[in-house]
Amino acid sequence: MVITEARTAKQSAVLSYVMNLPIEPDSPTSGRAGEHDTELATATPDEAEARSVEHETVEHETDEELAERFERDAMEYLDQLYGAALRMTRNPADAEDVVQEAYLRAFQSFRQFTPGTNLRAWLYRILTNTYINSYRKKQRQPQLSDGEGVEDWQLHRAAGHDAVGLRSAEMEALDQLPDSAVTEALNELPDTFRLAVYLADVEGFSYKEIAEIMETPIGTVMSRLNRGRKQLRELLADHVRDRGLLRSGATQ
Amino acid sequence: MNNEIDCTAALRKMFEFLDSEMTDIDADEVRHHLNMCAECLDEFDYQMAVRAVVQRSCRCEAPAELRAKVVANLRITTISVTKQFRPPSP
Repeated sequence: MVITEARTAKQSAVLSYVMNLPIEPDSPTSGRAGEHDTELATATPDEAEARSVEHETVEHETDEELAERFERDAMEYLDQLYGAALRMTRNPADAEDVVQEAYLRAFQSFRQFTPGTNLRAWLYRILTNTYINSYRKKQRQPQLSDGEGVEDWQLHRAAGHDAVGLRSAEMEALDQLPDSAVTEALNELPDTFRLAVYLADVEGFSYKEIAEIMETPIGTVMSRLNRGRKQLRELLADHVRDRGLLRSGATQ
Repeated sequence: MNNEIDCTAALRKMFEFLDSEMTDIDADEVRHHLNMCAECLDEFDYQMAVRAVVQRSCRCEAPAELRAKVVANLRITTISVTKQFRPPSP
């Protein structure tokens, strides 16, 4: 049975995604394009040498030069970091505060940052830290909620799938959901799930990078993604249903 | 060929597959299954659609004032640090 012939790449996002993936026989994982430099601090000898040259010039940097370099390199991530902070805090005023504080902290430790390593992940780590240690402490809830009390969402769907065709109606309905409904659904997720999903699906960080940003083992990242995404699907389905976006005949 | 996996296994590996976090051999098994199973392909497509709406709805720009504030904060910090290390005037 050759089903794929009948389904063009245009119809199946997964198929076009799969076909566009570069095949790298030498690489143990097929990592995402542009995300190969996942190390925050370590480097191969070649890279280290290249960096140490750069590092020497950086060592003699004046404060003004450091500030200039920081502004040049770190400010380009402002929109992204603000977007992440908005998902963390769930409101614009707090997001601005967290971003401002994170940038200050990042600047204060910028001399310790090894040039050439993953600046974006480093900034995200500081942002996450700022959110947990400063913002959440002020709210007297320094622990990130992990939704441990929530019963296993994995059991909901993991075992099977619906009949062919139902999903396409659901996808159409999903497309019609306004952004506000999607962010509302995201906001309903427990903090750590929401952040993991955001870092993977919006920012495209690898599991290893997310583990470093959230300072947690990779297994925990996978479990948070697994549960967060499944929970999000249920929540999105609720929103679709509440708005009557699913045409009759395609109900679950 | 010894690369047959069933729907349960394919669905269990869905996230790792879509996140490009699998070895090529494991990913090939999933691809092989998706070629044979329209239901699983649907399910994977649905997850891609979820990712797409999440990306769409999270797109945002930082307010212009925030950019100005962050840059101003950095300048203030730089000036105060520079002053601290300036030798005392005679």
